Amino acid sequence: MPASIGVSFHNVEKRFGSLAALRGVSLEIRAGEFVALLGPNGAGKTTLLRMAALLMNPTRGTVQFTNGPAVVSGRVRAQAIVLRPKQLIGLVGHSTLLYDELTAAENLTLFARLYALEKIADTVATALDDCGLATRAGSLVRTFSRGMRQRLAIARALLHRPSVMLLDEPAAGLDRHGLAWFSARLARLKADGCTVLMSTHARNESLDLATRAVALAGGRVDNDSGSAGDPRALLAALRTEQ
Amino acid sequence: MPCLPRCGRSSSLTTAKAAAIILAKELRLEFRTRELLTATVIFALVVVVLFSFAFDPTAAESRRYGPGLLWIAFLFAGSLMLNPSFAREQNNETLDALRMAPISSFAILLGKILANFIFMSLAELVLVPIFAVLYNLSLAGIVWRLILVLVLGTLGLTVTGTVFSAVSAHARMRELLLPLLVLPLLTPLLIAAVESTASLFAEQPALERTWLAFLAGFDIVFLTASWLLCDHLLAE
Repeated sequence: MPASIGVSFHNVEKRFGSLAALRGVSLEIRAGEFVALLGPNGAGKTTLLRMAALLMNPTRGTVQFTNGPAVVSGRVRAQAIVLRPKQLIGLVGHSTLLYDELTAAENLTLFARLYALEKIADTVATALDDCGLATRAGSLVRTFSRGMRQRLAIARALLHRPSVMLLDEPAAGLDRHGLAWFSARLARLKADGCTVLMSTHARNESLDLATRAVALAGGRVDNDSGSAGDPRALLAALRTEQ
Repeated sequence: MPCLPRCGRSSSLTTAKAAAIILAKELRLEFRTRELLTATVIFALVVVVLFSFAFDPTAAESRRYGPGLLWIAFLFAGSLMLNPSFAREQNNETLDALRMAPISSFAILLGKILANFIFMSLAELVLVPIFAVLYNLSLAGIVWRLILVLVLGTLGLTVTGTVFSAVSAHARMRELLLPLLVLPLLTPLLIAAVESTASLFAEQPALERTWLAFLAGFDIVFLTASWLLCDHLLAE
């Protein structure tokens, strides 16, 4: 089972020039929680996820990983400290984070090598089999449909068995079969104790797995079902709004 | 559904190993698409050939003007080649995937610098013999010394160009921005490279140690600066 680690956002603020994407967000996400991050476009969901992925520094406040091998600040400056949690984070973003001119197998092999995984050929073959792309292992990613790319993007993010999984609209482009595979994969992550932070719209079926719902609006936490609460009421309310 | 095997997490890669992986990726991508090499070689070749026919230089004139022309061709070719180095990581935000990997930022930069150095060297490998034929210059007896000058000059060009390619990658007008940022910085390097090359093409070929030391110093300074600033260079 991957090491369980949680994520804490302390009064996080992010500004892009005069635009405030996040305005003092404080969230304590416990290890093993499955958090559905909801809210309208421009609410700050992607910014929050990119900060948790250590791709972006907060303008103010801190992002910390807890209960893991190290407690670190979200500031990316101290390379030696930051390297360790990087191994524990997986991200599925808006883009696929894949090289179009490499094959599916080459893409996964590249990242398996960068994450210093062992038994790379076996790991890549199993990951391709898992996402249903084993027969297209040698095909260039640019020849894939949107759904196939998304499945490969998810497989890439899961390759190193992250303890914190960050998902930004991960179901985009997936067909019914792909969605079923993705939901099963999420259920397995949850069972393994992986901390999941997923930004999506309120009608996504995978949200049934969520143990907590957080609604953002205007860069602030608008509503939070809490760690001990039941997210269903909030999810139902948001579904009605939509 | 098959289960993913337990993939042991070893400690992070060394910078050299991670850079080698990035380099291998860059080489694979380039030799598959031939995007950069083809355009660069053709462009530099056109410059060299055009000037050769326009001036029809004598051997003496070639010795005077040839080195400058050669390095201008390299500079233009380099500008063309270095710009997409980081820009093409924007397509699917693959730079984010590299930045998220447990490797140092310098490994990403170093892998790309080495790849660009290899591409530039390959272009030079094609260009220099053609240049020597068209401008009636003999390479006999100066090959190794010329290679030394080319290596030091090209390294400076690629280090600076790759660093600024990373800086300008997020900019909207990056094609314009990169030469604006790089050309003033490269002027001292180009002067040293041209002077060193000219001294090799002189009637009595000699390697100007002062210019050579300047080239080496330039490379060391910019390589060190890129190592010190790599986190900021690749940060969003």
